[in-house]
Amino acid sequence: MTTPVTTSGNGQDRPVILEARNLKKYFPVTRGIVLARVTGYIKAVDGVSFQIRAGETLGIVGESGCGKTTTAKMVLMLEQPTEGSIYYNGQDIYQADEAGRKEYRSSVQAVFQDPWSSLNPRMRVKDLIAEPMVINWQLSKPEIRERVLELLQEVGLSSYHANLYPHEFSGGQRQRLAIARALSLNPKIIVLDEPVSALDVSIRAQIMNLLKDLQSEYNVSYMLIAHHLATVRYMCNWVAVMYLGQVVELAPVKELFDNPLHPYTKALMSAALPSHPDTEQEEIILTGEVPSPLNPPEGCHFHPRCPFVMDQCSHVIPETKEITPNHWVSCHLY
Amino acid sequence: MAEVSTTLSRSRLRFPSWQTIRYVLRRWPVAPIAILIILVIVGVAAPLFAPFDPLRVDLPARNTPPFWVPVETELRTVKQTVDKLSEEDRLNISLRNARKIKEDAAVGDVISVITTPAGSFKHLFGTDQTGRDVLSRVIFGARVSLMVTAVSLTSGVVIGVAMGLIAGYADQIFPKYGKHLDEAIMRVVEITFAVPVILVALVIVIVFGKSFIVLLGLLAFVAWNAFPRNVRAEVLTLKTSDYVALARISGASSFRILFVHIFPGVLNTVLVIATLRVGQLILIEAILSFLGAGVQPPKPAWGAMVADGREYLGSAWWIAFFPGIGIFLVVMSLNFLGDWMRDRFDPRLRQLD
Repeated sequence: MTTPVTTSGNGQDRPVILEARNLKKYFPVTRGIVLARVTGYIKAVDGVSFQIRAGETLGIVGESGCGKTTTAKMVLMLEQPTEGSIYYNGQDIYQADEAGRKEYRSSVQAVFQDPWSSLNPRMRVKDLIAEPMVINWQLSKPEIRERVLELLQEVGLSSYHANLYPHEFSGGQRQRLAIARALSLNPKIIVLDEPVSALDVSIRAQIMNLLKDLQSEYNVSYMLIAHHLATVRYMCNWVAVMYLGQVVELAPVKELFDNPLHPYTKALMSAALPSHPDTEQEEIILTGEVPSPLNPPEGCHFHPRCPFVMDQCSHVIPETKEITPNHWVSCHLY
Repeated sequence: MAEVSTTLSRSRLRFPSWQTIRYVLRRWPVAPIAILIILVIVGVAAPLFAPFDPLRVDLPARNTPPFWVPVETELRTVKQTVDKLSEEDRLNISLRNARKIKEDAAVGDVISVITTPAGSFKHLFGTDQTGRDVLSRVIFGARVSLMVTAVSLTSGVVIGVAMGLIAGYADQIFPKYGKHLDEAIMRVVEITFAVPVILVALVIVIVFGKSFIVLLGLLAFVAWNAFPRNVRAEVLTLKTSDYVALARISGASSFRILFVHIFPGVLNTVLVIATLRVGQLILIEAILSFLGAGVQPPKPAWGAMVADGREYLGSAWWIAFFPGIGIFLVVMSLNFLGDWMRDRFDPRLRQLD
């Protein structure tokens, strides 16, 4: 599989900071207790490539179970890829030595979906935010305290919040705390795993604006995992659409929303509610269920549900092709 | 000026309002802590508080009831007269339960006989079947029972929690053998559940002899196996939580995650099980003492005293009652205290702050 070489949509090229090449993650399925045999693999992620550029946001969309979160976990080094590699500043992180890994770890942080479970309920806010610094940096206590207060200010909270416990905050405030914690090490990349989907609509916009402001201030890159298309459209520079462990389409955000090429992307777009109830839009209803990743269909994984299915779709795996500059699609239609 | 200072001192001395007292009592476990402190002090300084030597036998005063019990008499018909009693025997009888026998009672007379003597302030809690002072024995028993419980429970908690943490977290520290270590520990725990403790205890006592150390070891063995399972279960949930994943992302080592993020989350469960375990330990100590494998007879221990008093429940309830109250107070106090500590250590439940 070729690696899509992306150039920034707005003309000015920014350096690629993180690149995933042909990432795969297979989870073995075992049967038997004493003498367990591997009877198959769940192909959670099956050959995913993308690039993240400095100061930009890559969105990954797709329905539940398509491998978005597993991809994020591999980027965060929580899961070891079965195959493929991740390059950070040109260096393969899974081949790197201990110092290199440590450096990578402190430059890639995360914000998770559920702000209620992502903060240890037994730690005070100041300790929660300081924890990455305590682990990675040799700072004195006053220095850490100063930085904690600065970060709280940065995410729109006050210094008196430092002595409280997480349960004393609302969902939006907790997500702000999670963001402050993620920012504490001055990371280059933050993986946002559905950062706003647990929040109510009025808070969502606040958090998204906060994230955008912080991005321009710190020049940090985001890898945004979402299934809400409006969020992606608002936040991202690039969008990768995933289906059953594979990226089926990758394009700059404007290009993707104006001109979706892959049938799955089109169906996804048509499933989203329009911003105005009177807006007429073409509705593509996919039949059937998402096939099991344990036994994905031959050829193009999408062919059993595709409205434009052709003969070759069921046995030839489509190549990823650059249809227009920067617009990559894996489909036999193009 | 003088008046001002008077009002000040008066206001300082004012008795706290009913609301304040209620608030303090609701917020702090005053009663359990007070009871436990009193019992510990009394137990530690037992010789100071006990009015008698707990081992002193006083047969004439046996089965004296607690101080508030009035004399109990019964009307009986004299069936035969005893002439052959020596003067000394006559005196004994008159002292104990035949004080009102008329010297010249004839067959057929109805006389009142004392069935239970009145309690006296000499023995506040009465005396047992051999005339030993129950209060002194309860006080010395607190010493033995609390020590046995504290030592065995502490060692049980340390061993049990360590096992639980290792079992639940081994696969993070030793990726290769962790699963097997976990399995091994859990199988050992299951085996200990199937061990008939009392039988094994008897065998061990036969082999190693009756000693206090052996008893402590046995009780620690009883105490530890409740912990690994629950602690392990808790660790398994906590280690997949989002905040542990985030700690790992920020570079925390496995040990840091275990002790900073997982162990505090396990403490609740440990406290609750530990407090619930105390009653069981005192009971098992009692059973072992009853069977002759525990605290050795003349030495007073609450469990053994309850076991002794069981036989006399109908006639002399106080022998079993007062040590039973001791067990009840310790178990209840620890339960309430454990419950309060659980709420206290969990910031989410700290509503009253």
